[in-house]
Amino acid sequence: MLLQIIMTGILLGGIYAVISIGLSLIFGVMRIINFAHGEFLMISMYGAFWAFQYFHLHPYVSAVVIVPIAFIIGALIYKALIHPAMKRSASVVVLATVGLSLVLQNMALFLWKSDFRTVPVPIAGMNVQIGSIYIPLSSLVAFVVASLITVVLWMFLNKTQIGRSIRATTQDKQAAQLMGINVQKTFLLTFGLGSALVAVGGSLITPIFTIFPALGVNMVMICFVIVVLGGLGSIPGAWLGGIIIGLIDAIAGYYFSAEIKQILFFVIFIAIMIVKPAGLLGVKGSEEVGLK
Amino acid sequence: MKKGKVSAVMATILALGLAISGCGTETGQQAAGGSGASAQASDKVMIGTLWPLSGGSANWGNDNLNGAKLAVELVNEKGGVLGKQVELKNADNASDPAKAASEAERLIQDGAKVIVGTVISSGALPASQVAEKNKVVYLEADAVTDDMTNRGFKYTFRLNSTASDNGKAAVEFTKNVLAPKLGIAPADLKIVISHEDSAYGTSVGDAAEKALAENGMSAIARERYSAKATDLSSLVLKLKNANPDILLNVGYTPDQVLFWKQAKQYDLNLKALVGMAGWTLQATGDGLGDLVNGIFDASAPVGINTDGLAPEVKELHDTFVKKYTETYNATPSLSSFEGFGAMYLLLNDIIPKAGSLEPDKLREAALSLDIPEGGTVLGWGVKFNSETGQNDRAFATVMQWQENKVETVFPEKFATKEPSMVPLPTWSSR
Repeated sequence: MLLQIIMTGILLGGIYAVISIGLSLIFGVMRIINFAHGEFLMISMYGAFWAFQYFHLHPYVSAVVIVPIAFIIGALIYKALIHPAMKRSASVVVLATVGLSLVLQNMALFLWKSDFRTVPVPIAGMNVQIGSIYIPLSSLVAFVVASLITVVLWMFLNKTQIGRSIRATTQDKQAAQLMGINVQKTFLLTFGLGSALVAVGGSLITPIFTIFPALGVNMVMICFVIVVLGGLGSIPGAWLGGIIIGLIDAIAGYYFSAEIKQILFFVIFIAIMIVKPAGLLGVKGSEEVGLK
Repeated sequence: MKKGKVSAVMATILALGLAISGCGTETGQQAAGGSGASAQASDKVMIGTLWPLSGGSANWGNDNLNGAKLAVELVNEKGGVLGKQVELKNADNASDPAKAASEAERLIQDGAKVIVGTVISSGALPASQVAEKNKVVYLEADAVTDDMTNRGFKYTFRLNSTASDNGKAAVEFTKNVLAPKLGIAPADLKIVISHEDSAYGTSVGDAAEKALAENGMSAIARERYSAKATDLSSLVLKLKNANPDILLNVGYTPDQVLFWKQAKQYDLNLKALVGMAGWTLQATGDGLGDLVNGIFDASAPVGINTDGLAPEVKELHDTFVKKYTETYNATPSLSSFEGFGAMYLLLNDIIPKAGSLEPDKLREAALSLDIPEGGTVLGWGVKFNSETGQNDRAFATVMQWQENKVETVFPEKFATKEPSMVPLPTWSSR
């Protein structure tokens, strides 16, 4: 049973990681805590729902369309809201994303009603059995994709010219600008990319989760814990943080009670803030929002 | 960069503005009866409503309100009450207990003499307390926690069945129907209770535990979880290890759908799943597809045999269903019926009988009601307990998903079908 629990925890970690990477990226590069992250997730899941409803597209298939759309919407939101707010102060940006979160939630409530929606695809009930261990297929897919994204994104940030310019901007906005990097373009790209990554997560969890306007609120708390634990802005950190939280979730849920999980998450959250504010894989100083 | 600055200011204003309005009431916007003009206390009878129109329980809240609006429409067509048209003032408790209390306060300040709500048990408690303090009648249509009518309040009334009713029906059904079908003595059944951990789930869990004890049975474990949990696989694994025959569960659609999908993923085989509210929602049926078949649910009756209703109530029932389907392009849910039933009782029976909106007259009128079983759209009779305010003639029934439809299976007199799929076939054989 222990082996089963560990396997469950790791796979669950994959799901948590895949919905957290976008938040970590945006935070790391732009020093913005995107409080609307959960709503981005919620809207991408609605996208998957409507694609299934009208075109009978499996969420994994409709992701091909929804992810690029999410990129464009993310970029537009940056242009219209985040960019102007960033010119003011850090608190304006925080208020802007909190406001955006409420706008999107109420917009979803208005447009799509408060009904619970689900995408009933067979993968939700499928599993692979190895010996006495059950591996849910939907979790396995999420885990593999989360790991792939982590590797690809890491390579993108470290090996390509655009990636280097993103990292340079992260490290020192002014110096990067002096070196001829277009900071605005980099931010636009990052916010779009972060939004696209959330949409990937949304498509992957759609088969087993119920979709409703307030869904983002439930999911986003865990994303914050993971990003803080892994290290703000660190992509491998978000992956690792996801796995650790997944394991804690499974182990605490099994040996103690499902009720205690939520408490444990936030105890960890607070402990990390005090002991190692930059997180497990974060660069020292990365926790200082809005100072750079 | 003047333009940039302007848009930054705009962004902030937009953010703040919506942050405030997002939490605000929807007063006026949703006033029923199609009248947009602001109502003076003198020319309209104003009734406050306090349902969750946003947040996690918005689904039930909006269904309640949609039902209630049709009750107002029907009554207004017949000339209203006390010779005046009825207008609703709708507040949003946002699925949040603190909000429920502050919005109740606000409705009372705005002049509401009667408030109908609340869906969420955790909000029903503080909101009715505010009403009691202000001598305002609080009529509950949907929340189930026993505590609401355990406090000796004078002006709190509840039409719907309680957590205890649900727990009792589930246990009686398990004892009298499932145990013989499974060929296991009731006391030997391995039963686990699982529930979401707010006031709602906890009160139903308590009720189930108590009902088990009263019937000489017991649960081998009781599992609590947050309805906001992002994963329930550890609970599934824990249950798999305990290997119970029967699971008694109460929760909300998202956690119930997630749980049952993960039960299949991890091959958790139960002999029966008996819900104690939540499982008969259409959204649950849609979310689970064929996996939903065989699941039982003990809760306020939905889809009972309408032949059991009094003739004029049956007519009202059919009028409501027709009007609801036309207006909202959806079939009414249990919550729609509950909202309609409570508002109709208030406007058609309680207020006319009281002859005014004076709280003590309303209380007297409510207590004097004596409607036999089959006398309201959900089949309940009405007899409010003079000490608790609870409708003693409300009851829970047991329903089952059969061929993707909800059928009533227990007690026999309201049944539309026999219980089937006992024991549940294993996942590998479905």
